[in-house]
Amino acid sequence: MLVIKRRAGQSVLIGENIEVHVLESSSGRVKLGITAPRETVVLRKEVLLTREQNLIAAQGTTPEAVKRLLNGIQAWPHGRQPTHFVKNLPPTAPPPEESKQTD
Amino acid sequence: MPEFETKYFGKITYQPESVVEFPAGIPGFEKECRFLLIEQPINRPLVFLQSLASPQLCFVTVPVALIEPAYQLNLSPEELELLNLEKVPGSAVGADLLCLAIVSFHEDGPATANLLAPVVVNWRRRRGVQSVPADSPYSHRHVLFEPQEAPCL
Repeated sequence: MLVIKRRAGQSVLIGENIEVHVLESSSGRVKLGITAPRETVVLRKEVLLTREQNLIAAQGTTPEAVKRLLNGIQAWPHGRQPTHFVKNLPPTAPPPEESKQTD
Repeated sequence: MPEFETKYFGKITYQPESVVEFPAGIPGFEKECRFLLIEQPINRPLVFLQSLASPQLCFVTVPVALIEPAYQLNLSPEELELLNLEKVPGSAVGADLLCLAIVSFHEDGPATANLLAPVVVNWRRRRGVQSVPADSPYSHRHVLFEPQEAPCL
C-alpha cells in the first residue's frame, strides 16, 4: 500500500481524473473532498460492504434455509416473544397454510 | 385490498397502509423504494421485507434487539430526514421505530445478520432507510449461531 502524509489544504491525484483533497483534519478524523468524473462511483467502505451483503441476502434464501433460521432463533430465550420489539405492525393476510390452521 | 405475489407466501392481500417507502432504496437496490413488512405469528420473530416492485426480492430480517439487546442506533441527519424524524430519543427502538437486521445465508457457513447497517423504519410515517453509520462497533456479518460442527481440517 502506498502511504502518503498530507496536511489540510493539500491533495493527492489518482490517475488523470481523480483528485482527493484533504479539507480538514482534527481529532482522529479527516474531511476529504473528492473530484472525480461523474461515472466514477465513490462509496464509503461500509456502504460497499452493506451493498455486498444485501446482494447475498437477496439471492441466497430458500424456504428451507428460512425454516432453519426460524427454528434456531425460536430456541433463543426470547425468540418467541418478539412482539415487544415489533409492535404496531398491522396484520397482513395470512398465507394459505395458516388460514387452514385457524379453522 | 390490493393483492400481491410474494416470494415466500404466494399471493397475499395487504393493507395499503402496510407499505413502507424507502426514499433512497437500499444499497445495491437503489430503485426498490416500496416494501411490505410481513410479520406473521407462525414466523415470529422474523420480519419479511418484501419488495412491491419485484416479487422475487424479499429480505429476511430479525429485530436487532433480539440479537443485541443493548444495540445503539446512530442515525445521521440525512437518515433522520429520510425517516421524517426530527430527533431520536435515548431509547430509539420503540413502538414506532423498528430496527431490523437483514440476514444473509451462506453456502459455506452459518447465517449472518448485518448489524452494521440496520433497516430502520419509522412506522408512524411509513418511512424506511438502511442506516450505514461511519463509526459502528457492529459487524456487517454477525454470526447468528455458532457452527455446530468443527470445520474439517
